[in-house]
Amino acid sequence: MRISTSQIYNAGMDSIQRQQAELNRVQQQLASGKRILSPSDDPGGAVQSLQFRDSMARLEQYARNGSLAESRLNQEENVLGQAMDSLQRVRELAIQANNATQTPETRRAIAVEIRQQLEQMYQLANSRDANGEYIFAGFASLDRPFVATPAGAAYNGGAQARQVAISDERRITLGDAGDAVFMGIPAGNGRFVVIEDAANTGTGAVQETSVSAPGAWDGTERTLRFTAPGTWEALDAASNVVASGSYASGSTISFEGLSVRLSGNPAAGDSFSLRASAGQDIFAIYSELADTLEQPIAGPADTARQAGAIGRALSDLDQAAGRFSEVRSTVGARLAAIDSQAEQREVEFLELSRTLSEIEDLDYAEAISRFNLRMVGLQAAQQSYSMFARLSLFDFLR
Amino acid sequence: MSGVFGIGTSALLAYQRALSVTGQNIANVGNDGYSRQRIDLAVRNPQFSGAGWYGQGVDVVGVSRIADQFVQRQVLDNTSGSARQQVYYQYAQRADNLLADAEAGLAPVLQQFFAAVQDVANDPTSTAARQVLLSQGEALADRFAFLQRRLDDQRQVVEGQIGAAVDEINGLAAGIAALNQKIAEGIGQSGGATPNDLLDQRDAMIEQLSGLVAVQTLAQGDGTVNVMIGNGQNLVMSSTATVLTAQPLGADPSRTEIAVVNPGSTVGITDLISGGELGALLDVRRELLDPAQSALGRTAVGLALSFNELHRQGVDLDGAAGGDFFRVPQGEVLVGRGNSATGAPALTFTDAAALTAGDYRASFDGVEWRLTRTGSSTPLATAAPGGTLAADGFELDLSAIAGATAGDSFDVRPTRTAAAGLGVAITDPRAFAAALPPATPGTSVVGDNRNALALADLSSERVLANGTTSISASYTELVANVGVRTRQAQLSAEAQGRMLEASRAQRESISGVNLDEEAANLLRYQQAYAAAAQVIATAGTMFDTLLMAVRR
Repeated sequence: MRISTSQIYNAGMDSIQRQQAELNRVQQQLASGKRILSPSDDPGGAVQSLQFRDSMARLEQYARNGSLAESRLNQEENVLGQAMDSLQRVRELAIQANNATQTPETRRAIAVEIRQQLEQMYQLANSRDANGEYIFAGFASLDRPFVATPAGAAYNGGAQARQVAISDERRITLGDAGDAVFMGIPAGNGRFVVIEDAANTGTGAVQETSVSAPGAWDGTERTLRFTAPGTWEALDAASNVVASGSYASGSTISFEGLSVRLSGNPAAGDSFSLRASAGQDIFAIYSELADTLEQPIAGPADTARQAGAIGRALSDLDQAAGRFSEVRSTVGARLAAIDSQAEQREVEFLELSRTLSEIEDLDYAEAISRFNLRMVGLQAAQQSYSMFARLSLFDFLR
Repeated sequence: MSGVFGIGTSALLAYQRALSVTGQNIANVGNDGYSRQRIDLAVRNPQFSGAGWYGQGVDVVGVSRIADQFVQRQVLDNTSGSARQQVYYQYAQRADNLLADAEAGLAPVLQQFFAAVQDVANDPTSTAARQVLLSQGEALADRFAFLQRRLDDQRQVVEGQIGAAVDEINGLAAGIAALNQKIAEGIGQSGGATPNDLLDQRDAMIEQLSGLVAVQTLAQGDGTVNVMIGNGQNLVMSSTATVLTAQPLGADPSRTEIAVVNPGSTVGITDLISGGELGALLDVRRELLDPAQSALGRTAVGLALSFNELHRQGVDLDGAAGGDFFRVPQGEVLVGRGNSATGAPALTFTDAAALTAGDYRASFDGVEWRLTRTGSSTPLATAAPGGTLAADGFELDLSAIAGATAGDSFDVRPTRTAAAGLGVAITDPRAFAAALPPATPGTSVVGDNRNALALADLSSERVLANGTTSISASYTELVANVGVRTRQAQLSAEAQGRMLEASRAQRESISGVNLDEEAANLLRYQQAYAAAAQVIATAGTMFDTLLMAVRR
């Protein structure tokens, strides 16, 4: 093929420039450590890295949400632990007060301590988090949830607690609505309570209650009446006798699947009413117990009534302890969920950053060898060009 | 004896010419558009004299230009192809770098905005977190506006370049027409000899022209060349050039169109033009900037509509029903040229999911208004005057239009400029509706974050394109589209560049000057010249010898 002189120059310059451009590119890659210098180098990779960064930012946000939820739930767990300690103390006090050696004065002293525990329970139920929000107030988190009124505790909080997202799918409830923790605790054995009539004159006191056959009782009120010191009958709301039997001190009276063990000797005409247990709040349990202990004792019948009331309070306290530990275990489960999500998230984050680095980052070994190759190429192009371009026939025309 | 003189003189003159052609070739070795020339010599007609035919010497019959029209054609094609890809790549790369940038793109602010929503969800009572959310909302709106503005800047550059390219085309067309005339005259004057250097000049101009726009050339018998652009639109006919203009022709006063101005009519030829810098500029505007801005606008409108919709379902920190969080951008409605109607339809967005990134036209046929998508004639909706045209997630209220006659139209671009119009509508941080209405009206909701959680989920919810894409994914799609176009342009620019190099090399190998070859010619012609001089000297000596013999 015929070659023109300018072709020699152009081809030489073209190849030098191409080599220089390539060398410059590798140099930029080496300097920045990035494989993709401009998005058009690898549009697919650029889009992927956008998506990965998006996912990573979301994971970081979830991590933030998770640690926030964790601190809130830890605080709640701590508060519930303290509430259980208080329950334990009040339980001890109740047992102590039930002791026959107690005098009205010592009982009043115990009542004072119970009232202090009541105060503390209010404080615990009105705990606030670092933001000043009440942790047991649900959505109404800036309103003091539990207020003592003459009629008992009133709940001003919301019925629902808020949630935070700790992953795309998983949401964790932050705290609990206070009414579901401190209120609505079932009384007695959880099925029914036995209350002695205020006009009882005997020493009969309730020791233990249980349900032997659930479903046999229709849930309406029953009255257990002693027609004679050793004989009882059970009446329904319409005063129909549904069962009857004989009683000896310490024996168990059973009818319609309900069992009541009494101690002492009820007098003829004494009665006990059996009601379905209603929900009550922990504050009422405390204050009723204190009230009971402050009652004057005028005779064995009063002692029996007090013993019955203390017995009821003890089973109420057990119910409350059950409730608190239930809530506490759900808090624990939530904390465990946050932990496991965090682990999962870390694995995912690592995976994403590794993939992102594979997309974006430079393979140095490969780039350095490419750099050397280009440098050799450029040198060869420069040398061959300068040698070739120097040749001219005019040099020989003398 | 006079025969020997004549032969010597003819050779002397011929090699003098030959040396001058060689000199001309050497002189133009550095001139890119130059085609090497060759002297054509021919034996003079012999004369019969007694014993036989005697040669009469040598004649110069012409100076030919060594060029191949087929190769030149390839150079032109590759020049316009390469210029198209180069220019397209330059602009596409700018848009690509802007949109896909890890810092300057939309993605990071979108992430930060939704992170701020999450933070309010975590702590709905904190006015600080709410304030941060409002600021992030503003930052997001600013970023949308920034991207729109940067794309607008590019659009302005493109519009300006279109005008400049058209001016350049007109200048070159006039130059080619003038050269056509000179060449035809030159051929006429010389009785058929082509003025080679003018041909080179004309080829160079046509090549320059092909860098601006794809051309077809047609050689005429009289030595002139007709030049056509687009689909056979004459640009140069013999010695006359058609003048192109760059001016707005449609409803958009800022959109430059290319037209041929004839007496009494202006014919738009924008859509017919392809290739070269001008073709690239038009393609960049149509394939890159228009869709990019519309897609960006759709993301902005989609975000505003879907976020507002959820936000309105909630209640704020004081229990009041949530209003609009974002100020929804205005769709663009352009009044058609020569409308007799007064007023313009009012555009309202109705549905984020149905929204497209397309352009529309509302036109009146004398009876009813029709809404069509640009590039299609199928009406999407029809309405009587004063009614409402509704389609694709927006509504056009026609009640403000009066006095419409058949042929009136409005160009509707719902999302083209929308990215610039996004804003945050609320100023009070307490007015962010993080809560849902409480079951019991009047209860405190300060700690309720249910609506904030729902709003945070919006970042990945598929609320656009009929539930197929999310807000952030719609932006990623835009980045991918621009990225792929840029990559294509880059690869094609490289390929076309190589092809141009190859066709130029081919032309060079035919038409280019080789100095070694010219050196050899120089030597050859110089020796021939010296020998011819020797012939004349010998003839002179012969003459002297004869005179001496006669003198005695």
